[in-house]
Amino acid sequence: MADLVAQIEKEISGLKLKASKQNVGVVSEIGDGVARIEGLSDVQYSELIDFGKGVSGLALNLEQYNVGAIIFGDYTKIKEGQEVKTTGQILQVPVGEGLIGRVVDALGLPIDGKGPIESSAKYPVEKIAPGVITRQSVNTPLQTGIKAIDAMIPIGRGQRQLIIGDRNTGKTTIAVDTIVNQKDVICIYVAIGAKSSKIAQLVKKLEEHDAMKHTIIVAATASDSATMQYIAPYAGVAMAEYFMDQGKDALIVYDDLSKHAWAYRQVSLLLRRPSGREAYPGDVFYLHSRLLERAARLNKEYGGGSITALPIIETQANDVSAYIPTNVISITDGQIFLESDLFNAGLRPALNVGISVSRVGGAAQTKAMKSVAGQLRLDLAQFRALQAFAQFSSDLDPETRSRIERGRRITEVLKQPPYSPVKLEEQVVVLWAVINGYMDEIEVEKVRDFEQKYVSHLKLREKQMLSEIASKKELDEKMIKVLEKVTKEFVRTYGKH
Amino acid sequence: MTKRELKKIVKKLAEVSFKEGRIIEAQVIKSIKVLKFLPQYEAIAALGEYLNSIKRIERQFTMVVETSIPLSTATINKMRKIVEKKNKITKVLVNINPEILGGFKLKIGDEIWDESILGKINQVKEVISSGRSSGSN
Repeated sequence: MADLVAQIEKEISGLKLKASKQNVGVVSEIGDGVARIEGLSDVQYSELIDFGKGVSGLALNLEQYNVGAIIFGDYTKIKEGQEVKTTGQILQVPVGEGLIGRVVDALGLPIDGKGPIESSAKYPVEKIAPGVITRQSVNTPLQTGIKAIDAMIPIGRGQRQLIIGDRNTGKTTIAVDTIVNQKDVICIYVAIGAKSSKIAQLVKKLEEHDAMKHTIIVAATASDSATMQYIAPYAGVAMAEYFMDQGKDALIVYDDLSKHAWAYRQVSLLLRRPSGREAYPGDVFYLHSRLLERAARLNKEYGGGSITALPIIETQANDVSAYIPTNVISITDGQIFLESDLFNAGLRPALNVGISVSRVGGAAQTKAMKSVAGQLRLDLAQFRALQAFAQFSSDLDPETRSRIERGRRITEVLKQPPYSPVKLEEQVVVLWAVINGYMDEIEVEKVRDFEQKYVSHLKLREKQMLSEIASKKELDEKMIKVLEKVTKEFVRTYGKH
Repeated sequence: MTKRELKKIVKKLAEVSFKEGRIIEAQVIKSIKVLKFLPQYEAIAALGEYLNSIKRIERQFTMVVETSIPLSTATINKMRKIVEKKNKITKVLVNINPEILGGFKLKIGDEIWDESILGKINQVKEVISSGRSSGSN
């Protein structure tokens, strides 16, 4: 107690109290998380305003005599005629290592019942994205641990890769798998408009896979106000920026931006902003572009940190040409398209390789993966073309049949259950084996069993070579010769296992 | 007449209803008569807007003093003189609010000068709370 008093005395010892001048206004209208305030003539755009009783707001509409503001917290406490003050501050959230492993709300306050958060700094929620001078191109891969993605739609650190698909196609699973696979990357998962039960399940899953120790969850649940859902992704990226400024790599998942656009539409309509297509406001493109532009790879002079963004968009009936999906597709550096038909056919992840693309990730792909990915993509493309053709013909020439058979085996190899990321070296050897025809003789149903046993066999016999692939990140002639020998031997003895 | 044009007219009428910060009653009656000639739906909106504008302008020339104990007329006049060096004052209102504990608060238009004890305590509170952790459960 005495210590506490001494500390407080120390903190206020040099304090000089002065008459404070404040700009005030009066609440003229209040409702649905939005207030209209008369006065506040000196308020700045995006300035934090104080409603008293612990309720704050953000000035978003500056008119001649009125200010439109969104409210954080319980707006039912606010009354018409109540005095409102400007604060001269912009909205900030706590950032730092203390947030890792925690579940916080859109203002950075803990909601996981684990006590207060020790944070050393605060970052503004709205910030201009890093400029051209500070950036460098994407050159380091971000391994998702998902074979199909790492091989064909590679993601680099600093990239913005959209995950798009209908409901229940495994969008969140891909994002969570990626988080589970990270070791040195700080992950931030921003849940927008999600059910609280889903967030609880997600936290449990991440804890089970020991991934919460490098993850922050920013939750704006379906029961939170639209204003909280609107600022949640900006709060999340501010937390990620702290780690980027420290020279670290961060990964941020926005789950999902369709609901974010809905929340912003609600806020804009309540603020009486003019509405445009599908009642979205005119700046709905800027809403997402300014958010995703904050994902970057800084150059060495600026610390070399990065923020990789994985925004998620939910489509209706696989329609990627709707308003918000097309906007976000045009902003991002590529998209992973998931289809419900493929999901129902048992293909997990339900990836449509044909229209999924990574525009910059190829530059970041490791040499080892590049050596197998090119052939894999080609084989798969031929398989897709021939598969459609083969449906109408019963009599196929041997070459066509062999291509189809190989395609079926590749498809089988690319299937992967959730929460089971595969290491880079294991991905490389398995994909090498399938594209070089070592699985052609294996029955399709047994391919996954073959894969498992093959990897275990290599771990036992050629552990040195696997660790060499992992460290050198390439597949040289010597390694290929060893692989050929070991694989031939394994294929010969596989049936006898 | 568009909404914008109507607002502009109302704004002009409100401005001419004041002379040196004082409201001119005759001008207000004249303005209301003008606005009454508008179609009914426009007149209702315009009169509401006119009233708001009058209140807004009047606020700029009104000094509101908030104290915990009643002040003498001499003190209030002294305050008014100091304020009038920068801002024309035509109306003075005094509020007694024991919650501010001591000192006074001065409000002119949208500006408040806080010299109250409560304000000072809040300043100390801010310094202490900003030196501590930001989160709470």
